[in-house]
Amino acid sequence: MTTKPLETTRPGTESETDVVPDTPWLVVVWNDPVNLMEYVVWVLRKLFGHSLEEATRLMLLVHNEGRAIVNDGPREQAEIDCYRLHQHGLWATVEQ
Amino acid sequence: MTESVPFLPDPGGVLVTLEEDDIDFLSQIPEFLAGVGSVADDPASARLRVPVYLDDPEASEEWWRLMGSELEQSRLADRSAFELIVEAAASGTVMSIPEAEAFLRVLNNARLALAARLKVEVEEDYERLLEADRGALDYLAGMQGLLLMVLSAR
Repeated sequence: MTTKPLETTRPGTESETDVVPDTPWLVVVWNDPVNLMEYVVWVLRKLFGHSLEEATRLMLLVHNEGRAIVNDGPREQAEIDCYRLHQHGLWATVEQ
Repeated sequence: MTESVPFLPDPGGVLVTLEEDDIDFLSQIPEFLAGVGSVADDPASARLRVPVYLDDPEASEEWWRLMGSELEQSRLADRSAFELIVEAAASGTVMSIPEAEAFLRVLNNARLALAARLKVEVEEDYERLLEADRGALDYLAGMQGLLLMVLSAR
């Protein structure tokens, strides 16, 4: 599940390689008609340490737009975040 | 059901006191959740095992292969904690914060599983539910809300 950084060769310096930061993986929470709004806020605060205002903003984004990106990072971390969200009953996915 | 306050802040976590009707109802939940997936094409099972990569079924399957059993162990531990707390709640018992969080997750999973079996897919679906089914979902939501108030006030 680990993701290696991309390696590219700079033109004209074929022996040299640059390490390009990996594109972050996004953790997405999707709307559903069952989870309580205050529960979603509580989960986001507990898992990601968001302030009440930020967690509420994300929850409303999920509710109104159908989804919200709640975190991003390396693939392995995104998958762990996803696990913790599923553990709390939120429908979370990973995408790039 | 309960008319007294079921959850109160306590120095050790959350004091939970349940009435007989609450205990009768809540004590059925661990068994109900343990049975999720035991019937063919169980929508409750599907809800608790949603895809993680929407555009990559193989990656999703791999994630569930690696994480699924750990997640199920975690859910089982939550249900066991829930069962013990409900058994002890008639005379009042103090849940530690991790136990209270487990209790909350079980209430939530019960609502998710029940709603899935009742085919609640959009909010309007609540309107067509039988009174008893809707009552069960509302009751669980009420319990969740009361416990959340205590946990969120910490």
